[in-house]
Order: sequence, then structure tokens, then C-alpha cells
Amino acid sequence: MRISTSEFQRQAVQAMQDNQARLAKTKLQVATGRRILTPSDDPAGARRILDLQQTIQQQRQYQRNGDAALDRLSLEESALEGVTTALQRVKELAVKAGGGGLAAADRAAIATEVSEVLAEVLALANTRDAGGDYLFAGYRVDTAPFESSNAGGTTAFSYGGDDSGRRIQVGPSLRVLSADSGQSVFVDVPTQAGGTRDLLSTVQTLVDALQGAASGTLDEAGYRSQLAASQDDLDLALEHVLTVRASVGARLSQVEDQQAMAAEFELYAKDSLSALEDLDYAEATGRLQLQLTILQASQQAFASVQGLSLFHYL
Amino acid sequence: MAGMGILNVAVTGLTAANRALTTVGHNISNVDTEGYSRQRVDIEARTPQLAGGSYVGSGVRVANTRRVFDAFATAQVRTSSSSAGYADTYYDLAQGLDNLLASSETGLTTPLQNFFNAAEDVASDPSSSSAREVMLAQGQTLANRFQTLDQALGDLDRRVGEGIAGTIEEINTSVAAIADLNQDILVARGRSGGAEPNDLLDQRDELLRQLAGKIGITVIEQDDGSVNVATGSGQSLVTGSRTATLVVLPGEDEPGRVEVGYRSGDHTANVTGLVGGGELGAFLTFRQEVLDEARDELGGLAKGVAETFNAQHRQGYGLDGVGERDFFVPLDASVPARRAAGEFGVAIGDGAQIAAAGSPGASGDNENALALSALRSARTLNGGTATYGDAYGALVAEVGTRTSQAEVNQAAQAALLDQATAARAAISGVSLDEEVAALMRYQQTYQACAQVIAAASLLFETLIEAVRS
Repeated sequence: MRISTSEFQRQAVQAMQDNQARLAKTKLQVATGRRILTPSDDPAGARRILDLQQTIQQQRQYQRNGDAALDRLSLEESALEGVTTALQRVKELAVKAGGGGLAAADRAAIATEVSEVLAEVLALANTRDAGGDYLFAGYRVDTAPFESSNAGGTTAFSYGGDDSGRRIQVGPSLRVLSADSGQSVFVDVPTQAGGTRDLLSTVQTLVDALQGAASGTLDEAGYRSQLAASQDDLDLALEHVLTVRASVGARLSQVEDQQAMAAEFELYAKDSLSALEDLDYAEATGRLQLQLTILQASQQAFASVQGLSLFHYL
Repeated sequence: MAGMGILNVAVTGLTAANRALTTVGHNISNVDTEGYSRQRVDIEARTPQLAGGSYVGSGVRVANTRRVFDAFATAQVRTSSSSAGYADTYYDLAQGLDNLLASSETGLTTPLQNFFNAAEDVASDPSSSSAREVMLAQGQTLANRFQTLDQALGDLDRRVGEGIAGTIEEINTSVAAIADLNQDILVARGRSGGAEPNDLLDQRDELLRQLAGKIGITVIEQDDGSVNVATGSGQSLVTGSRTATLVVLPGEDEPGRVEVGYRSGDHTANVTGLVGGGELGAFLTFRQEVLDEARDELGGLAKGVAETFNAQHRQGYGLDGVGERDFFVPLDASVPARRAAGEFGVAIGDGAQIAAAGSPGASGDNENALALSALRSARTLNGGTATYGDAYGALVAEVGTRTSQAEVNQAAQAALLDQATAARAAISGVSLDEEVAALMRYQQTYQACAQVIAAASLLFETLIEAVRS
């Protein structure tokens, strides 16, 4: 084939430019550590990368949501632990109150002690979380759910919350109840007589009985019968709280399981992402070296052939 | 008159060698001229003269100076230039879009995910005003990203418009120059009685090649040596020395949009959908196939997000107990998809208005926030087949695929043009070595002819000497 001077030059320059372009791309890959620089390098891969980034974000968020759920569940657990301890103390006091040979003053002293424990339980029922929300208020988290009122010497308790509970998304198909409502923990507590009564009132009946016996408004037989009923109801209340605690414990472990699973998924997605996205440095540096050599060779060839011309022999 | 005969023969040789050397010089001078075809002088023996019963040679003459040229190879370069011009420009434009959608700084994935993460934080703690403010801020970031992307696509659209206008100008310049050359060639041929004006023909071929790079053309040679040029779809651009021009027309649907008009005489027609090939074809096809589609899809996504998110948001209640509020600015049917991304925005101005609650009045109620968060992975778009992320991923993959195809096509067309250029150069290109060899040869011829003149002069001298003595 006949080779013209300018075509010879053009082809040599073109070859060098092509080599330069390939080298530039490899250099950019090595500099960024990324195999796919733009979606066109691997359209299907690029789409999968977006999916994986989304998965990673979502799984991280599940773990974060799990933390929020754990915070609230742990708070509920510790509040209910306090309630359990308090109820056990009240039961002990009830047993003491049933002992023989107690003077009126002794009963009054026990009544005072039970009242103090009751105040403690009331405070626990109005527990607030880190954000200042009342934990046992259902959705009405802004106001204290439990209040005591005293009318005509009778102490009564009211619940201002609702029967809802905040559920938190801790997994793709799992929303976990982050705190039980005050209604279900403290209000709907079964009694010996059938039906339900709030736990605070149950404790209050013990106080009332003790105070009645101490002041003489309640005779001994009435006192005994009320005390027995109170004790039965306290047993039921304690059992109720323990049941709730068991379910809180179950949810705590459920959340922890989900978090572990989300972490696992996140790791898996990261591995896949890295396999898709990351450059094989060994391959790339080898390629870079080869491309450099080719470019240098084409430059040298161009320079040495440039000197060849019949003009030199004229 | 033997001496005169020798002298004359030698002079014809000198003249021919001179012409050949001039042509060699011309070739050497034009070694770098684009589109130049090397020229050769055809020399032949002159008609012999009858002298004393036999024919005696009377020297040499230049029959013709012609360009070494192959019409097929030249047409091949022209066709390849159209395809390569198209493929280059298309790839260049597609790359711009590809880069834009890929980068995490400009893409939609990150702000979309951040927004839903913030929504989930609100669901986990609906009474927290900081969680609500973060969600509001992330909503605004998402809106900004939609707007930024829309702006970048709009910029690309403007770049395409400017490209169309610029290319039209270049096409008109080439068309006018070709018509002028048609005229010049006609005149030159007439003056020479049919000899080809080689350099003018080269110039016209080069202009045709450049024009073909801008727009697909068909070239028809006329018997008088002029060429007629028409667009691929048949609109005549050059007929002899007459021309028609392309003009920029405002779009019929969108006034800001640049379209292509064809003006012949007083008549102007919109030929946007008709012209193709070359850079102009690439601008038009890219705009229609890729850019418009990308803008419509992005706008469709913006509309889909606004519509479905709002629908859920309206079912919930803010901390103030008010329901039926839109979170994003509603993008109803009156907003065309192509503009929707640019108008995407947050409608509420206060985190307390985020409708996290399923019923009014309880700040701890997160039922609607959970439902809003669930929209992240809900298949709400494209007839219930795609999540928001899927729809964006599909757009990215679509543009990526188009760009990757464009890259392959660009490389293939460049290779074809390379081959065609090399094939033409193999025939018509100037080789300096070849010219140097010719230079040496004709120089020798010239020297030899001069030697013959010297011999003739010696003959005269001999004769004169003889007469004198």
C-alpha cells in the first residue's frame, strides 16, 4: 500500500492519542479506586450500585430505629422493674399488716409506708423518655398520664393517656411496640372480684384499709376481709406486671435480633458494592504499566521514523 | 536545419521537465493541505515530422496535468464523515448526561435516602422537633437536587440548541462556498476548453466533506462539472450556483426551543424531523431520544414522589392537629412532566406541620409517619412496579446504556472514517519520498535536455567554423 506523508503522520498521531485516552481512563480509575467511573462503563452494574447503596442506607436506618426502640424498651423495662420491686414491698407490708398484735399506730405507720411506695409507683407510671415524652401515655406524650386527686378524703387516680403505643420500624416487615400504654400496664389490671381496676387504686385500697383500721372507722373483721382482698389483688397485679415485663423482654431480644440481621445485610450489601464498584488494583496497575509502555513505544517509533526522508540524501 | 531540430526537441524536453518540476514543487508545497490530491503531469511524444521519407521525432509535450483521484474513495470519506460527525457529537453529548446522573454530588439517590431516613427518625420520635426539622431540611435538599438536575438538563438542552444554531451557520457557509466553487469551476473549464481545474475540484471535495460532517447529504455530479447537493431527506441545498439555506426556527410547542427550518426563496418549512446525519442530526436525535426522555422521566419521578407522598401526608395530622396538608408542592396535570422537576418543592414551612400522626391531637402518634416512611420501599410508580429509587435507577441505567452504545458506535464510525481516509490517502495523498524521487528524475531530464542544447550549439559552431575557414 502506498503511504502518503500526511496520512502517515496522522495515523501515528491518532495512535498516540488513542493510547493517551486509554491511559487517562486507567489513571482516573487508579486515582479514584473505582472500576465504574460513569454508568456507561457498566449500565447494569451502575444500577445495581444504586440499589445496593439504597439497601445499605435502609439497613443502617433499621439499626438506628432499633436503637430508638431499645432505648424506650429498656426504659420501660427498668420502670417496670421498679414497679415490681415496689409491689413486692407493698406485699411484704400487707403481710406485716396482717400480723397479730399490731397497735393502731403501727397500722398507721404501715399505711404511711405503703403511701410512700404508692407515690413511687405513681412516679414510675409517669416516667419520661430522653426526649421528655411520657412513656406510658400512649400517643398523648405531652401530659403526665396518671394523676391522683383527693375528694372528701378519698384518693382516686385518673389516666389521661390513650390505649395506643408507638410502634417503630425495626425491620422490613417488623414494627415493634416501643412502649406499652399506661392503659394496658397500669389501668387494665385484673382483680380477684373479676373485672379490672387500676394498679394504683389497688394499692390505695390497702392504704385505705390500714387507715380505716387505725382510725377505728373500720372494724377488725372488715379490715381482715379488705386486707385479704388487697393481697389477692396485689398478687394479680404483680403477675400482670411480670407478664408485661416478659413481653418487653421478648421485644428487646426481637429488636436486637433485627439489628444483628440488619447489620449482616448491610455488610453483605457492602461486600457486593465493593465487588461491583472497587477497582482490582493489581489488574489496573498492570494495565497502567502496559499502556505506559505502549505509549512510550509509539512515541519513540514516531520520533525515529520522523527522521527518515529522502531529502537527507539530496 | 538539423541544428534547429535538435534545439527545438531539446526545448520541448526542457519545457516538459520544467512543468513536471513545477508540479512536483506544487505537490511538496501542498503536502499538508487538507483534501489535496497529488498531481501528475502526463507527458507524451509529439507528433513526428516527415523528413526525407521517414518520421523523425519532434520531442515531448505535456498532455495533461491531472489529479490522482478516485471518486469512490472520496465519496466513501464523505459518507464516513457524516456518520463519524454524528457519532462523535452524540457520544459527546451523552457523556455529559452520563456524568451528571452518576455522580453522588449531583445524583438523586443520596438525598432521596437521606430524606426517608429522616422520615423514619420522625416515626421513631414523632414529638421531637429536631427530628421534624431535619426531615423538613432533607425534603428541601431533595427538592434542591431535583431542581439542580433539572437545571443541568436545561443547560444541556440550551447547549444542544446553541449547537444546532452554530451548525446551521456552518452549513450555510459551506453551502455558499460550494455554490461559488461550482461557478468558478464552470468558468475555469470553459476557459481551458475542458481541462480540469484540479485544485478547485479538490477544494470543492473538501468543502463537501466538511459539509457532510455537519449534515447527511447526497451529492450528484452534473455533466457540466458542477455538483448538486441535497440533504439526506431530499431538500436541495445547492443547485449549480443557486443555494437554499437552513434557518433557526423557534419551537412550535416550546418557543425557547431551537428547531431547524429550510428556506428556499420566500418559502420556509420546518424540517426538524426530516434532517439527519452529521453533527446536526446528532444534536436533534440526542435531544429527542435521550435528553427529552431523561427530562420527562425525571419530571415523572418528581410528580410521582410529590403525588404519592402528598396523598399519604394528607391522611395524617401535624402537631397542630391540622390534616389534609401537602408536604411537597403539588404537581398536578397542569405541570408538564418536562418542567416538573424544576418546580418540585416543599410546601410546608414548619416541622410541626409534618403529618406524623394518624389522628389529630396526640404528639406521640407516629402512625402516619410510619406509613410515609414505608413509601421508600413501596412500589408506587410506573403502574405499581417501581419504587422511587427503582425509577431513578432505571433512568441512570437507560442513559448509561445509551451512552455505552454511543461509545461503541463512535469507536466503530471513527475506525470506518480512518479506513476511508487511509484508502483515499493511499491514492491521492502526497508522499514526500515519492516527490523527491520525481524531483531527482525530472532534474536529470532537465540537465540532459540542457546537454542536448549544448550539443546543438556545438553543431552550429562546427558548421560556422567550417564555413568561415
